[in-house]
Amino acid sequence: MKDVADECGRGPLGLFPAEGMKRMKSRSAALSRGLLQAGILLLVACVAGGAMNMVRSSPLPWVADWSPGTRFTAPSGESLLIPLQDAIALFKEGRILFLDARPAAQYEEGHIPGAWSVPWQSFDQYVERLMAELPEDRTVVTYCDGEHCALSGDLARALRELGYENIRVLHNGWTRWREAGLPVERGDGRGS
Amino acid sequence: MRQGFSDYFQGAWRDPGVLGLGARLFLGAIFVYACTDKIADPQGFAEAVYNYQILPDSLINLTAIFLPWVEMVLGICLILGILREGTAILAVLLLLVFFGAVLFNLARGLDINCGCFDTSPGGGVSMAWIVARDAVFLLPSFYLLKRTLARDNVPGRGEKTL
Repeated sequence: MKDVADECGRGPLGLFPAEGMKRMKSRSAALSRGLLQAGILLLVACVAGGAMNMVRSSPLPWVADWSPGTRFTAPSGESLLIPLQDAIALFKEGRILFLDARPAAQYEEGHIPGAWSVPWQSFDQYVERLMAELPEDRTVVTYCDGEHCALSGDLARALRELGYENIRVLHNGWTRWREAGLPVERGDGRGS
Repeated sequence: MRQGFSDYFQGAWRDPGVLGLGARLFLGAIFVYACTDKIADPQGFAEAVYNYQILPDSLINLTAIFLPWVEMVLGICLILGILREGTAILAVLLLLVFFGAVLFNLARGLDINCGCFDTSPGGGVSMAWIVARDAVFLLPSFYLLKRTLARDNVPGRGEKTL
């Protein structure tokens, strides 16, 4: 019995292995030291991050408004959003061009009639064609899908930065368009 | 006391070995590399954080301001080999959070631009790839954690350190 206990490294009471106890002790000491060190690391990082943000030429506000009205603004501060009713009116008059910022597969499953597919993820591949072909006489409106979807805003801002002014965003466009019972189109054509 | 102080900052991975050193340098380099874009473009990173749709709006900018610096400090400490227990714990926690966030969005089918390494769009990397990559990063971090916590790391014994 004694031999077995020795082999297993058990202590005199046979409850815990003696080596195991030692290990547990040093492990918990290492853990508590580690947690303290992690705290120090976080503190240093917070001081560095906070200080860096304060000395930036344009500091990020500590807390920002991420509502659609604020998110979809041009660098000038002007809102990029277009109300659904305005978009519908322009659509009926044929004075609007929609850009679908979602991935191409989603565009193929269904999109606003006449919309061009310009997936934001592959924007670089579309820039030249867009700059050459975007009509000057129509309002260009980007859309994607979902309350939080940022693709349409990103696309609109990128086009603005390239000098295209007449561009707006239809927030949560695809869902709102369908919910309004408006016509939709399927397929992979650019539809123009 | 001086010995204790130095040990405290040095921490202890008392067994020499190439694996530990490799894991430490690899993770350190990853963290430093990952944070540079985020520090250079905090607004872009804030948008990436927003795109994850996990945090409340009030925490998005704070995350964008502080998180890259946590990565920076962590990466530097990993490379230098200081505060070793702390860096091992923090690296595992941070990578688990990243991994969980991506996995969560993959599970709910949210298509986001990850923003892990680059705040600009156009990466087009698939979510599954990001999950696999984060899982690979987790391996060395768990290894370091195991080494710092599971060994007899009593400081001051004069064993060879990495």
